[in-house]
Amino acid sequence: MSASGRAVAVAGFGYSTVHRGPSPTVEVLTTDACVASIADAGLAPADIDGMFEYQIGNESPKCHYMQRALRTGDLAAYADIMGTGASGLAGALAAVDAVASGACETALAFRGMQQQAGNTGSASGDPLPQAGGSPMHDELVAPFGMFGIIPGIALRMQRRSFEYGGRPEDYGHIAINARRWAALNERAIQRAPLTMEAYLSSRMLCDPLRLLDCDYPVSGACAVIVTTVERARSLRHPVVEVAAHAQATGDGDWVHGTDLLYGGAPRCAERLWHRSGLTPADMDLAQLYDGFTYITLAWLEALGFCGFGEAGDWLEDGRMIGPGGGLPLNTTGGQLAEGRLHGLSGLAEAVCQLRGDAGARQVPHARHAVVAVSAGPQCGGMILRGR
Amino acid sequence: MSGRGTIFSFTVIRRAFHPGFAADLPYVVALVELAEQAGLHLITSIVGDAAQLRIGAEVAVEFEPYGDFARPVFRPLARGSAA
Repeated sequence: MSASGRAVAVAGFGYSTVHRGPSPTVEVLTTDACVASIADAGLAPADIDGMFEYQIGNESPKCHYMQRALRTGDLAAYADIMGTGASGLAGALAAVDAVASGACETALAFRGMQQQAGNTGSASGDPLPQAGGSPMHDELVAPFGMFGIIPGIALRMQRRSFEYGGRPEDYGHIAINARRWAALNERAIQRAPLTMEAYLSSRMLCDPLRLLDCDYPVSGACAVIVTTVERARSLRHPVVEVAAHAQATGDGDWVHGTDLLYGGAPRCAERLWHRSGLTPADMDLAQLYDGFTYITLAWLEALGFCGFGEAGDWLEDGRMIGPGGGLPLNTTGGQLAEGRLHGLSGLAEAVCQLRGDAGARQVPHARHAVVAVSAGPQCGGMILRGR
Repeated sequence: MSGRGTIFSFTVIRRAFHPGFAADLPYVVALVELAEQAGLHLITSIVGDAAQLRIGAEVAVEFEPYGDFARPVFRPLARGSAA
């Protein structure tokens, strides 16, 4: 019941190695992830007839590069998605549409990351993004010293505090949870435990946003294989079906908009639940974007796991979202601790969990998972159904 | 336009996100909702008494010389003066 069209499955996923500091080029890393995903599905490059990827703008390989690197042959459906889009999930969302519609049979979606400050949690010593952008930004925003997305998230956190109260510790539980799961994930970069004291004493970047509210920039790549459920049944893994997929923008951008706190997330959530016929209570785990801790809290509330403004109490000091909790959340460590793979890793991990292949971090009896990526004006999500 | 508004949200920038603003640290970036229309928000800065920096505070525009141009910034109104 994933919108209309053919039933669709995610039949494979793959990662490159993930690096902090010196690394192979982003072309090598992305190719590695794509090769791994095709092999994981038990397919050959010649089986790929669709290809979709997201990037912010010219920082990673495009479809033509990957077509030649993999020698896939002709592509019946393809697109490079840039800028506006559901970040790392955007390629996978487009792949689902293309397979569901019959535009192609088996699509590869990928996201390649080269460690940089970029547009999200860039709080390290990494190079800063180039100043400037649209005329609107240059005239109305830049003169006040607002660049990149970190100050925009800080404005949301301050407003959230005004409207709903809450404590800094609410965000801290998201950061601590990421490290707890990362300790069980050999690919993760930040595997050392984090204490609340260390979170609270991390450097204030833009009040009330701290360094450890930001994701951890890395170099690495992730890829997934999308095909029909019918085809997936003949492949090597248990079928993980896309029960629903959805996007939303709200009415704003990262600076302006009438719903500064949630943007399009509530509409994206409505579409996911309506299209899947499922509810938050049906979910066995969640992979909710954590480019900033704020975003994860906003998704928990927008998806209806708790009421708006109630995530702080709902977390039960982190017990709810940790190993053994009621809603295991971001079970790789996510962007905060595995490293910033820009959200496609959330889909790969949901598939891994629903297949029962997650090893030390496996959520017992996992059948349904929700994935949500980016936030505010660039929302996208999926609900996955396993065995 | 009246040049009046209220602080919708704000942050204190403590890290330079552009080298041109490093000398200004720390500085305030705010969203001000203009009095004329709900939801009409401007990115701006707030000048004056830091103790009055709070969401909901009433503010009035000033044009602050900045390099070769002037920036519209806002100053909190003293309580009782918002007639």
